[in-house]
Amino acid sequence: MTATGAVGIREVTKSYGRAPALQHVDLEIPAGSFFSLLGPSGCGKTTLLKIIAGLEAPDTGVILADGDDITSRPPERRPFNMVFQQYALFPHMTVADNVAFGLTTAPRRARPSDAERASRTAEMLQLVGLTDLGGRFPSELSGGQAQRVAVARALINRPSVLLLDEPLSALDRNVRFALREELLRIHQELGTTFVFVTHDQDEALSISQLVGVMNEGVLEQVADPQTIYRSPGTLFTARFVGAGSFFEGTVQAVRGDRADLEVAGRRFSATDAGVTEGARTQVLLRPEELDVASSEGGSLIGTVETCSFFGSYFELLTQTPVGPCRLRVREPVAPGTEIGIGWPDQAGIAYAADDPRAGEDPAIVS
Amino acid sequence: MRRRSWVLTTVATLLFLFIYLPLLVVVLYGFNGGSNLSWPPQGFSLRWFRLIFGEQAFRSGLRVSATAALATAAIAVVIGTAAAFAIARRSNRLTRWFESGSRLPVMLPPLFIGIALVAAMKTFAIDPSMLTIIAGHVIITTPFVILIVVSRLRNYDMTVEQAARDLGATPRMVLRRITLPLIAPAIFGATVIAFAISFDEVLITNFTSGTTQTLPLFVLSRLHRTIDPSVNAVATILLLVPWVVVGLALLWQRRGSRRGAADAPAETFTRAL
Repeated sequence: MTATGAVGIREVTKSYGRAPALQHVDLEIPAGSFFSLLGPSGCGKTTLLKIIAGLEAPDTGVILADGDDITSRPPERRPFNMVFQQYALFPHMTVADNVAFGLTTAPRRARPSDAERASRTAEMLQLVGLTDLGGRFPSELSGGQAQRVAVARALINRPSVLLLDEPLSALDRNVRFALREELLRIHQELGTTFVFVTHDQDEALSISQLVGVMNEGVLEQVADPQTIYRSPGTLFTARFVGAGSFFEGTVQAVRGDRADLEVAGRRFSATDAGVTEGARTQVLLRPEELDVASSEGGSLIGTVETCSFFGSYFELLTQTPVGPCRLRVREPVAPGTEIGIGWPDQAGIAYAADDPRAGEDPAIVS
Repeated sequence: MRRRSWVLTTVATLLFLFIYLPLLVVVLYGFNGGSNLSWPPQGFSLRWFRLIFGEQAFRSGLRVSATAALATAAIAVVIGTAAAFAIARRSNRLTRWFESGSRLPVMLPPLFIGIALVAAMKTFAIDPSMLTIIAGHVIITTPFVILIVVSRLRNYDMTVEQAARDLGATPRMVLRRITLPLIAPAIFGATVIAFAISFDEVLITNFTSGTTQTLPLFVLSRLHRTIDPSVNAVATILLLVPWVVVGLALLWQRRGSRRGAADAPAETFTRAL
């Protein structure tokens, strides 16, 4: 498989009326990668996907396909195909005709023969595991089947990039998990670049090689899932991705990439993510960094508010003097109990507390 | 609870009889063997149908009405569908104004439209003919076509068109292979309704027909002369022609509904009729 399918986005801006949807977005999507655009609804991720597909035009900026400027090309002349959130199957055609549609739109001379069309349609239906359903109409399919048809339909022209607009959001949980793994398998099998838009962080982290986190039309961070989870670049990303607790504290000193903090009377050193000396900070601690100490020995005393069961662990939501705190334990703890909360001396990431782009603290909202 | 449903059933039945019993009687007397309209009808016969079909004026009236209705339906559906696309797909001040304006003929009294047409024909020295009959019918049927097609265009998922474009279809291909097949039931329904309205239109036709006689006009003039079961026979034909057309249309749509294309054929008809 040749390495085609790189997408370049340079300085793309788009607004609807006064409302900016995308602001100076720069992005390189490597050929053959599984790339996710992750963000809350309304952050501009679907707009960006539609601009890549050619279904929307950017106000300014350039879209590149393997280095070629395709900004002004209509969607039918781009080597990309799209899977829509609500499937968008053609209701008046059978599954097989839906899948074969992309082979019938070329100019007459370039159109594949009937035999080739039939064999490629069968091949695609087999790829998504729907060999027997070619004769059905879309109204006779379940959601999961419909989305598989949509994937087969989008892949039949062998696009260099497959664009997926929240393809799993409309599906039930079990179907969603099954289809997620199936997409991963298809990606490995074909080597096509996948650009996957989602608001579900678990989805993005579990299947992507690269994740771009978007917020209010701005790309906050582009990195592999582990980096996004372990070192979120901004307070927004830290809050949006993964569970975590945010303690408010003050910055004592900044030395290199470390910041000395004071939180609730305890001093410790965290990774610096843009704090200044003497300023307030929000420090992120992941649940796995926190542990339950005896109520005397801990750094922080928290009162357990809720205790939820997650199968392999229990999650405690506690209230502490410096904010709500989530931590994971093996055994249930009764609400109302006071526990000590501890963490290592080299843990956490410190963000400037007054970042206006960060939005609400999810722990407070939920 | 039981008592109330009993009352409801009675009222509904009475209302039903009130509406449909006269229709039944009219049709019944069309097959009357006797020669007057006294109760009960005397035996079954097709003599009035034979009599009426033997009359040259009836045959020409039927031909005129059928021709006018077919032409009206064809013209109204083309104009109306084109207008519906403009209204549904381009939202600006002009199209919004046009949408409200296109509903006006439905609300105007037909008498008013008729007088206006006569005045216009006088002004431009146009003689009444088949063409003026059709022009009048197009004016009153086009709004129905617009209404039906616009509502269909507004409530279908536009992303199927984006999907088609994305799969390589040019805008023309999208129209031919996606949009038109999906709205075909609505267009077909609109055609049938235009036909049915035109076929028994009498008020406006009265102003625009001159010496040309449509079937409804033939009935009116005949009523002036005689009242015998032949009028019932004509009325039966007037009733059946649109019913048969609408019935066939419904059957055709039911056949297509498996494909999900005709999502509300019955609704389309009831809204328009």
